[in-house]
Amino acid sequence: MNGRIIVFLEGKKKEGLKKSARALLKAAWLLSQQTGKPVEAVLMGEDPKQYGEEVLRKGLNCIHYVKSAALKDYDVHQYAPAFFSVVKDLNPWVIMGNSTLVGKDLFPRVAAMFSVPMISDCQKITFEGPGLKVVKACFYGKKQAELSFTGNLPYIVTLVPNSAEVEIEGQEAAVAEETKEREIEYIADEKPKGRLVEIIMKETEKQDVLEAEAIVAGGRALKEKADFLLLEELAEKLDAAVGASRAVVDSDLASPEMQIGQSGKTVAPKLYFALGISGAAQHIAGMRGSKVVVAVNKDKQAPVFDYAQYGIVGDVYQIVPEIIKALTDLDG
Amino acid sequence: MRIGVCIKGVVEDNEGSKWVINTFDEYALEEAVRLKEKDEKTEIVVITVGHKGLKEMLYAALATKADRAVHVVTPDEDMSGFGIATILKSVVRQERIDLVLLGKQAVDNASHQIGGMLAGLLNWAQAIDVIELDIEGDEATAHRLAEGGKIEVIRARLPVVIGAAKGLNEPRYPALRGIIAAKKKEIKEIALEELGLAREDLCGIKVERVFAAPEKEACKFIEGEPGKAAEEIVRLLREEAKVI
Repeated sequence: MNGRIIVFLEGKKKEGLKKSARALLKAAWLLSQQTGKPVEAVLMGEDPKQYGEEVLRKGLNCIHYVKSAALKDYDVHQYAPAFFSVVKDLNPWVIMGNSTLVGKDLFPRVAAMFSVPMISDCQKITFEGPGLKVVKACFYGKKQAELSFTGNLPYIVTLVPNSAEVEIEGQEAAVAEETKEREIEYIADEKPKGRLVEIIMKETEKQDVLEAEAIVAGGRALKEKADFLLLEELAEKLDAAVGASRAVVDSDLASPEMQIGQSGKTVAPKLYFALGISGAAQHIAGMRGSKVVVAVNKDKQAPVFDYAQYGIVGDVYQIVPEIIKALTDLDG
Repeated sequence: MRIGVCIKGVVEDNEGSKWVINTFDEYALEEAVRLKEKDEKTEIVVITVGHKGLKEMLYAALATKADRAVHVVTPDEDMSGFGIATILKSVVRQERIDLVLLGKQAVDNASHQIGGMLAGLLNWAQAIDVIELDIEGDEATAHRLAEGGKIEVIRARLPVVIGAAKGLNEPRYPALRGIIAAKKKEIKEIALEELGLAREDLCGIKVERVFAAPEKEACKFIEGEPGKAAEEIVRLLREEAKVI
């Protein structure tokens, strides 16, 4: 049985690979160990080799650098044909990516180009010969489903970024004896179907909840926009991103990109603070992959405590400043 | 211009048995109605795929300014996202749609696949996760949410697939007059065979089992006055959970 494991890796300018890309590589290695299939990575961009050194140390069988000025910023109308044209010749068995905002946009179009189905937001991927088995949330996150592919190759999957199931430390990676490197100059589509014409930046770029190892999320107990400053202060202590439940996004206390839950983002950080969040099923669906959950809520019966390792029954406005103080004492 | 609005039926409030329009598809439908209000020549065709029980949901969609509906009737739910996108592609072609509007994802299973897949199958432009849309003649300009709170502006000539996100608009409740008028509008039922599609080509993914998400260990409640509880939680996170 042949075929390769292809991993789509995302970098972040200057900072190297995204954290979620490292977790994804780990999942690919585990699959490689189970199947004996080689792992090859695809890096795309204007200068994809800038991440090469880091990836080279990861023991892959081959790295494909797909390079073009047209790939400087992510635009599905260039990225999808570029990725497809490279991967289709690699005899792919599995194509893996992350459910980042890029992955969510890119992979469905790529699946259509391969004319195969895909499974999004996997929490776990295992080999059960000769196929692949994945676990993902369904029914508003109340349940989980175990799915398998029954159709044609390649099998296309995206993982919840930083899925807690994927331990980065620990297990040794399958190290290839030699990593091949291959550079491909992508000839940009001169007449793309659509075009990215502008990127509108916000004044301050905050840490994205999808990439964060710790998240401090606020819910209905927060009454004003300014109250999120308290959460930001706590987040800073923990090097965390600030998230929000749907209720506070709906009432404009927090912005949509912060929303965690079924209609927002699905996250799986190492540490999740649920502050004044009651824990509606839709919210739980977006964070239940978190490794350690701390909940603070006035109501001891709040469902969020069913999903928390540690709970404090109390007022967010009283507890959070004390936690910040305790963390500050720790620093000192 | 002919707009196809693809809607999915989801179970209301995730329990009960009433089928309602997926929240994100409501934004898509509202946007189509707003485009029609700017240009009365616009025709809106609502498209759905699924069992017969979705009829009431289709009437609810037709209670807006939507003109008619196409219902691809298929009883089974084991179709993959790719299968649904394949069906929609056939309908979009058959109905000569110029602009597809749909929600960026469904609220129940949240796979966020259909928009991008449909655009890929049709080889059209796409903009998914859209919070602002402007159509001038045959040119579409869409603002989509990107990483770190950035906004990407995508421009394309029609035909285009647009995936609606929250923030695109504020859907209105249909007026009583609309609800009555809806009953007179056409709902065309089509079977898969009429689209030249075979069921087995539309699956490709098998549900092995569905189970309740695993229970976590019981929560450890930390008692005491705020200062003491805060110190204790920090200690536990450091020494027991080892996450800080």
